[in-house]
Amino acid sequence: MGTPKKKKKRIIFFILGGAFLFGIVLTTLYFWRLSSGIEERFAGRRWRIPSRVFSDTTLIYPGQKINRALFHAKLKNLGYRQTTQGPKTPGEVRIDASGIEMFPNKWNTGGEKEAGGPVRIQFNGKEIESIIRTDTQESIPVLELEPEELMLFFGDEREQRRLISIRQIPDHLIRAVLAAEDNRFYHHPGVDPISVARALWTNIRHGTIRQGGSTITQQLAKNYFLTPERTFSRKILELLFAFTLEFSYRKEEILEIYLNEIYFGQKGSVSINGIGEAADFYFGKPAEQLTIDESAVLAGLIKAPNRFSPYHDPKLCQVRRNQVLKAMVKEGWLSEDDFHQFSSLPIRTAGYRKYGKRAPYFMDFVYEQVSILYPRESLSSLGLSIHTTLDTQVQEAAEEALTRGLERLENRNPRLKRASSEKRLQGGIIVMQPKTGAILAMVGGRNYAESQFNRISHAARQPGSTIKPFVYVSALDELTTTSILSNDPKPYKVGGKVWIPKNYNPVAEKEMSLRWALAQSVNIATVDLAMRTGLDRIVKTLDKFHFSTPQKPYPSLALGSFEVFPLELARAYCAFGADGILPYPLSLREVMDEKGKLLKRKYMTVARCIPPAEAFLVNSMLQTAVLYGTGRHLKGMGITFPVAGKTGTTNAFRDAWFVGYTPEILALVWIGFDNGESVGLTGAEAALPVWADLMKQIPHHLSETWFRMPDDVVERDICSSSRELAVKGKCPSTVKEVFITDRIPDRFCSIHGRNNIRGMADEQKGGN
Amino acid sequence: MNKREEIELRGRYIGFWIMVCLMIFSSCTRQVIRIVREDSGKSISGEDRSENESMQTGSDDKEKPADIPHQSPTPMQTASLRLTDQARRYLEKKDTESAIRTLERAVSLHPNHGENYFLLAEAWRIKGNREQALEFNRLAELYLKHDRTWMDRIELQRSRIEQNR
Repeated sequence: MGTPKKKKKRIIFFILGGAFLFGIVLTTLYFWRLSSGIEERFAGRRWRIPSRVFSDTTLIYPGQKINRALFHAKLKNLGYRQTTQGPKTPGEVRIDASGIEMFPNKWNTGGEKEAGGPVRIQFNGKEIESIIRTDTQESIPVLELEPEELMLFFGDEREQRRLISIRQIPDHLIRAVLAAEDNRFYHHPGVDPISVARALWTNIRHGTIRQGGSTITQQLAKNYFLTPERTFSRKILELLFAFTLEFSYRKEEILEIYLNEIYFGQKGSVSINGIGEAADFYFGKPAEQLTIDESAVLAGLIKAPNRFSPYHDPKLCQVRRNQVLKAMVKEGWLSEDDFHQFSSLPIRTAGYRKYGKRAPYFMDFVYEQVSILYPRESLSSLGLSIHTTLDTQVQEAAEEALTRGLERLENRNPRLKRASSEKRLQGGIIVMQPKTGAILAMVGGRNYAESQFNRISHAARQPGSTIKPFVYVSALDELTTTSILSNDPKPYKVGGKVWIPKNYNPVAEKEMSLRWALAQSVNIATVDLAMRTGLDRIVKTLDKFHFSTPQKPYPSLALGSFEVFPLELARAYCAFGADGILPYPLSLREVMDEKGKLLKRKYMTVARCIPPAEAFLVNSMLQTAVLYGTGRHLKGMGITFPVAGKTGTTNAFRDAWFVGYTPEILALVWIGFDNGESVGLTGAEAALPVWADLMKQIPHHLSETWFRMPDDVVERDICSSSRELAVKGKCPSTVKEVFITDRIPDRFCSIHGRNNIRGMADEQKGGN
Repeated sequence: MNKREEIELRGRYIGFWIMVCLMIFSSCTRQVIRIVREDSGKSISGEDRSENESMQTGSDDKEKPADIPHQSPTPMQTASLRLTDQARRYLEKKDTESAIRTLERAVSLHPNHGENYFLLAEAWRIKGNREQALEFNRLAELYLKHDRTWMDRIELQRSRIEQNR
């Protein structure tokens, strides 16, 4: 038994011991909680990565005509950096008067990586003369350039980031970052006592928190888990987090997370995070291709990204870069010679590319489809790559052509001007590839900021005369392009009321051929044809072309009185341009995950719609419309290559249309007011000039060839007067006409061939 | 176990080993055939021969009838033909995804070139999509109707697509 004093001492010892043990248990539990919190955070997706939408790739080849201004703009948008010497690394370009020397970037599409080498694209006027690999002197038959980034699906945080593995980051970049931020990273346990002591001394001396002395681990802990205020309690928490991080993760893992996490500046309202995104934003290249001086720029940015930004203050940025380079020399990571070499280099950035939604109406259209596959939350967090069919050069040309066209119309016709932006004259353009159905461009309105309503995909408008080819094609299994139609005004009974179709312009002829009636867009003759063909049959034809809006068997159907969506009208015309094959409109090509693995691909899908021979006859008639009919002004606008096209004007001039196409490309232009006010102009006056303007800007899609004549179509000489088979040596004037082989007319010229010689006739009928 | 059961069991045992030997023999034979074919660059089995033939187009121009007017291809068509060559190589390696992707681009540059549709039909046949394969097979026919050699291949392809049913 001890004395009471001893007993008291023992109690105190037990209490203290108990408190100590309790403290240890509590601390352990706290560390355990921190550690499991960190693990929970790092185990799943560490960041929400916005999905990116890309345009299509660009094919270039010798002999291709090219719009150099648009092509240069494309290279700028792709982040190619101008050099004065020949390009030596991917992403560099040198443009001179006669050509372009470039080192194409590597890119990935559907798991296939395209490796580039330096090439020279030699021009001969507007044409690419040759594409030669400058290192091997090998001739390149087709060069495919990477797709352009069009948009990101942001979440609420609006952070742009592209993840990169530590294995992809070059050593000199890691060393630059360590030299700039934490040179003892590999030697301290998350907290660097030397720098903490230095920081503490500075802070005590000034009585405020001036210096952080944070290690990379502490910075990561602060960015990832804590709020940005500078308080002592937060600093303690930061130290605890840093210790726990170092305890749970390897140095490489911490560095990798740090380099993907850190803030590197601002691109408008969007923050640039991670070294991968920064490398692209500042230098237009992947981080693995950064040079030592570029790495030093990025490392120097971490301290104050917007202050040292080369876009904000290139001189200050250079000073900061050289500080980092000097720090690398101090650590023995860079030689003095290299320092002198790199510190004297100017800073060559990729050029500031402001973030903006490009091709906004098309993007909305793509989103409608993508959102069926992936919810909004996934799009803003999974970092998917969404590849589309958009050709940015065509899109840009279409946007400019529409803007110019509408302004021109308003300037020439001041009555079209409106004070309110909501009531302004509007327009829309869609450009497609007839055979594949790929949408190359879509302009759904004049100004997306003013009105997001997509008039191409969502506005139901009367098609007017643009519907006529579908009426004519319905008749082609019985009639020929030379069959005669009546142009005599006739009354038709519709719903108990009498309706008499009228022509826009007086047409003197009482009779005319199918070809001429379509070329001149003659209403009375077209209704005559529709009635002869049968309205139900025309409705069936329109169904075959997949018009989703109701089309009723009224005589006015033939003049386009029932509304259609411009997109569906363009698609239907594709069937004429694609030998009777109707393509499915394609805007989304493929979706890949953040590692480049293909998740979803949309393919070219086609279906037979009309016989190729009938499609050819329609093309031929619509070529006449462009050469001699309602579209004849195209030639004066510089369109000299073969085109098939149809104008359209609706009742009271509410809508002006033009659809024109070649075997490779089709474009539809619509102009009108949203509220249905009269434009007072025809399709030829309002829409056709916009089409011509657009086509002249995109020579790379024009081969200037005409449609191949199907095997079951033949050409015959026709008497110009009688429109019947010409009799050789008798008919003074003949023209060539095309017929489907089993529908060649059997009547010979009734004017000049009264004494026709059977042999001559047989020669014509038998075929050549 | 009685005598009868014992004989039956032994019979099954021998039968099993005969089967195993046959399987090893047949796989060895296939391997030898494959090596010989790779060495000579020629196909041996009837089915493979037709498939290989259908991929070869280098000599096709010589086989085309003389009445087809010869037109020199436009630059766009020339570029498309190079893509067709590339797609054919993908198909030979059974890389149908890359082949389809390349062919769709080739079609956009040269919409009337029938071989693109023939190869698209082939890619879809390999992928097991009968409907798409038939649609492109018909398109190939549309553009290659005048060429007897091609028509033979197209008809053979069609019957093989239909066999896949």
